[in-house]
This record gives sequence, structure tokens and C-alpha cells, in this order.
Amino acid sequence: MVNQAIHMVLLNPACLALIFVGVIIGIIFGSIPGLSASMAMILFLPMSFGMEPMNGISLLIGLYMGGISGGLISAILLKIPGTASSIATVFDGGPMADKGEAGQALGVGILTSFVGGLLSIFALMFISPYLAKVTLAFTSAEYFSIAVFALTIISSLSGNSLINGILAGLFGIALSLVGIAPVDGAIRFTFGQSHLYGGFDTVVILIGLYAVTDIIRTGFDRHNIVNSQTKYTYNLKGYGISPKEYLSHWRLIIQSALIGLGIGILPGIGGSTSSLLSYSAAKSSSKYPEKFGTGIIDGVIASETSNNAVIGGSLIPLITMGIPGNVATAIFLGGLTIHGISPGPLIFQKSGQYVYGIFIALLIANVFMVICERAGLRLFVKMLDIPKYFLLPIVMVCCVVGAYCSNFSIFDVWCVAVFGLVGLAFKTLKVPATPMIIGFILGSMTEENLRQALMQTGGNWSIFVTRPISLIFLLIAVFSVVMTIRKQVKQVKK
Amino acid sequence: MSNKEKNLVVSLVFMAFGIFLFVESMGIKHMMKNDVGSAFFPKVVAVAITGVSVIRLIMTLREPAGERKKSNSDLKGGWLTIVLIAAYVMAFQPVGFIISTMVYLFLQILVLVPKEKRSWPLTVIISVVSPIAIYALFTYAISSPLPKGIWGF
Repeated sequence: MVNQAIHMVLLNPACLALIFVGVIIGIIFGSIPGLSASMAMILFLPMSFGMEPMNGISLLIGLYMGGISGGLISAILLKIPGTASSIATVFDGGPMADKGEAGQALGVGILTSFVGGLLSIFALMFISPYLAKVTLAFTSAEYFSIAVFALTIISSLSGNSLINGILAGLFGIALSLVGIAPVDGAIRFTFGQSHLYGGFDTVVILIGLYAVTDIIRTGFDRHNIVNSQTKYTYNLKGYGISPKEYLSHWRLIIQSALIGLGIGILPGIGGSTSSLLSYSAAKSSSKYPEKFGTGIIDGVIASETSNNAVIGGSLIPLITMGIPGNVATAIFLGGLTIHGISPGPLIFQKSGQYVYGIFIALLIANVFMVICERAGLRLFVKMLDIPKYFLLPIVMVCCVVGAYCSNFSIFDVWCVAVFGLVGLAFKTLKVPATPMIIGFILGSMTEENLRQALMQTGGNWSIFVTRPISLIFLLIAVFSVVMTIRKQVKQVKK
Repeated sequence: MSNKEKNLVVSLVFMAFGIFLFVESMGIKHMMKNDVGSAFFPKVVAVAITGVSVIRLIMTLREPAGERKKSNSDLKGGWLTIVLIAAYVMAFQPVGFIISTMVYLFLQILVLVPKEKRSWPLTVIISVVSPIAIYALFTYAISSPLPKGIWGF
């Protein structure tokens, strides 16, 4: 299987070219504020449907890898994070640019993105086969409990308003109910629309919420469309740091990579939290915490190592259990299932060649990223000047084309516009959108496993608490709900 | 809107949605013995949404009124964008991809571009060239045809 994977990826020029293109486009989307890594992946997802499975998946991997690391360019040169994952890079990358050290910040940022990505890919390669063996023993009862656990974590960690996050998650679950029900095939909530028998398409919801919404919001904010920020110039040789000096930060690098990996594995938290968390961990464990924020390289290393380490981490639950933890992996799940690759414990037996293909593609994408982003830096910096009033309308057209091409149905195109408005309403009312998309994906998983487990026991609910692993996940779920309520009550009292 | 008003809207809209979901679930028939049925899970979700939004409502009513922030968003730009997108997706199939996209791009760029940066030639070039390029890419390179519309292109 490993041989097959090598043939499909490493020895396949088309696949290598797609990874390359993906990384470049990812970096561009990641670096321009207002365009995001998720947007790039969403736009190319329908295109990947028509490709050979491994080629399509590799393209998405390239976009994911490039998109996450591209954010550091604008975080340092414009002091605006190009993607949410690079928020904490601004804290020290910005001041470094002030001091005329933008070049070093960029170089080290790119280098450490590579190292963070690499460590997490290794973790993915070593952890996921073992985890798949463990999850092989899972029955519907365990899957139900894991889905419930994932849903509570997602809602409880979503932004400032916990309760709005829960509502968004529940709304997502409600959307997943539309169409033909699992187990008995009852048709529900279609309101006589035959288009809805198959339920909503994940791609359509993603395009609406993460691309159309942003374009409409730009309309409401059009007087800020021209970047008033001055762009810093930079001077950079190599990666701006000697290997010896870089490696002297080894403790910080490993600590940040582990934080990113852990955050990636947990569902629903994502890159922005990991970079913030890793930054504050670096600060509190440092011998000179007072220097953080004044422009030291440690801050950039902490943020950029951890946000790229999220990539490998987030793929662990996706590959072994089919649980997407963030928007990028939700898109990735869409790319896998359309080619008949169903993530889960059996993936190593059923589609082993693709799993190893994913590992190889990740490694290649990571190498392409560290070389291309450095070599093409001047070009990517120039790209920041492309006016958004030309870019966004074209992105909107690509959204519509993408929605149309995923099923060749005009109904999907209308849905994209409707979900764009739903996303706008969510943003205006401060309801986070990510729990909704995760709820949508986990909703059908929850119901299906719940009903299957109950059918097996003849309707006996005790199965969920008598099976130890299921019980553990339910207990953590209850614990996280209790903590959520406590935190919310405290906030209200203040 | 102040924060309190926003939360009020959130709780009322979701409450109505939860009740609607529950009522709709009541019409789903139970088909298999031993199974909880296709109405069970929707009802649980409906009750959860209604319950959480009631909590949201109670919490919101206890909140202090809060200041109404003057929003500095550009309503004209926003609504024009929404109308353009709506018109575009409606025209996409009947008018065909190339024509509808050219018109949409041209108008959308005009809406977004600040007056002092306006450039007619560039706007026209972008709105004519990009639909043709995308059409060619999808029809010939990826072989997934886009709507041709009434004029056959």
C-alpha cells in the first residue's frame, strides 16, 4: 500500500504539480486579509471532485498547508493577520517590523511553520494507526458518545458567547435532519422540495457561510476596502537565523508544537486559539516575559509553530473517526467522501493507499511551502497590493460556479446565497458560525449511531453508560457542559 | 443595535425556530419496531433549542440595557451587494453564465470601488475577460459545463 501511495503521489508529476499550485494559491489566500485559507479550500473543493482521488486530495492538502502559513506575511508586514491563525504573530512580528527586523521575522516565521508542520505530520503518522486500532472496537454506542462529546466541546469553546455557540451548534444539527432519515428512510423537513431529499450539501453551506458572507460584509464596510496600513519593507538573507540560533529555542519549539497538536486533535478549537494559547504559554514559561510584545523572535516562533502543528493534529480525529475539528477538516472530509473514501477505523484496511498518500502529500506540501514561500516572498508581498474590490467579486463568481458544479443544480446556487445571508445574520447578532458547520456534520452521525445502538439493544438506553469508553466520553461531555454553565453564570454576575 | 437587543433577537428567533421544528416533527410517522423513530431526534433537538433560547432570553432580560453603538457600516454598499448577489443567482441559469457574470462583475466592482480609485477601462476588462476565462477553464479543462442560457453561450 505504501508503494501504491508513493506511485500515486511522489512519482506522479500531475499530483506534485497540484500540490505545488495548491501551496502557492494557499499562501496567496492566506496572506491577503479578507481572503482566508478556508475560502481557498472551499473554492477548489468542487474542482477536486472531478480529479483522480489522490490528485484532488493533494490539491486540498496544498491549499491547507499554504493557507495556514501564508497568514504570517501580512501579520508582519501589515500588522493584520492574513488568516485568524496568525493573530498572535502580530504581537511580536509587528514590533519587529517597527524595529526594521521584518525580514528576520518573516524568515523565522516561515522556517518555524515548516518545523511545526513537520512535527505534527510525524505525530499524525505515528498516532493515527494506533488510534485506528483502538477505534476498531468502537460500536455505535461509542460513536454516539464521541459525537456528543465533540458537540459540547465545540459549543463551549466558541468565542465570547458560549450560549450563542450552543444555539449555532444545535441549528447546524437541525439542518442535518433535512432529507431522508437514517435507519428507516423517512422523508422529513423537505416541504415538498424534491431538491431537499438528499439534504443540504456541506459544500453549499460552507461556500455560503465562509465566502458569500464575507463578500456581503465587505459591501457594508466598503470605505475600509483600501488598505490604509503602510506596508513595511524587509531585508532578508536565507531564513534570517542561523540553524544553531534557531535550535537554541528547541524547548519553545517543542512546547508550541505540542500545544498546536493538542488543540488540533480536540474538536472545534482551531488555529487562532492555538496561536494565542501557545503565545501566552511561551510568555509565562520564558525567562524574560517582559520582553514579549516588544518584538522578540520567541513570540513569532510560538505562534507560527503551533498554528501549523494544528494541521497534523486536526487530521488525526478526521482520519481515524471521521470527526472534523475545524472548517478546514470539514472541507477535507467532503473531498474524501466524494471519492468514496470514508474516514474511520477501517480506513487503513479499505483505503490504506490513500491514507499513506495523504501522509506523503502532507510532507511534500510542507517542503514546497518552506521553499516557495521563501523563494516567492517578493511576489507574495506584491500580491498584497491587488485591490480587494477586484478580487472579491471574482471570488463571488467562483463561489457560484463552485456551488453549481458540485451537483449541477441551480437550487444549490440559490442555497449558497441564502446561507450567505444566514451567515451575515449570525455575524451581525454575534452568533459564531463554526459550531453550526460542525453541528451539521456531526448531527447525522449522532442520530444514526444513537438509533443503531438502540436497535441493537432493543431500546435499552443503558448501553451508553455500561460501555466504559462511551461512559467516559459522556462524562467529559457533561463536565464540559457544567463548566460552560458555570463560566456563563460568572460572566452574568459580573 | 445594542448588545441586549441583539441577544433578544437571537433568543426570540431561535425560540420560534425550536417550536417550529417540534411542530414539524410531530407529523413524522413511526415506521419500525424497536427503533426510536425518525421523529425522536428532531424533537430532542427542538426541545434543546427552545430550552437554550429560553435561558438566553432570561439572561438577556437581566442584562443592563447597554449603550447603543452607532454603527458605522455602509448600508447602501451592503444592501446593493445583497441585491446584486440575489439578482446574479436568479439570472445565472436563464441568462447563462457568461452574460450574467459580466453584468454582475461590472456592477459589483462599481459598488465596491471607492470613487477616487474608479477606473472604467480596468473594470470593463476584468468583467469581460474573467467570465470568459472561467467558462473556458470549466468547460474545456475540467469538462464541467456551465449554464449556457438563452443565447447558447
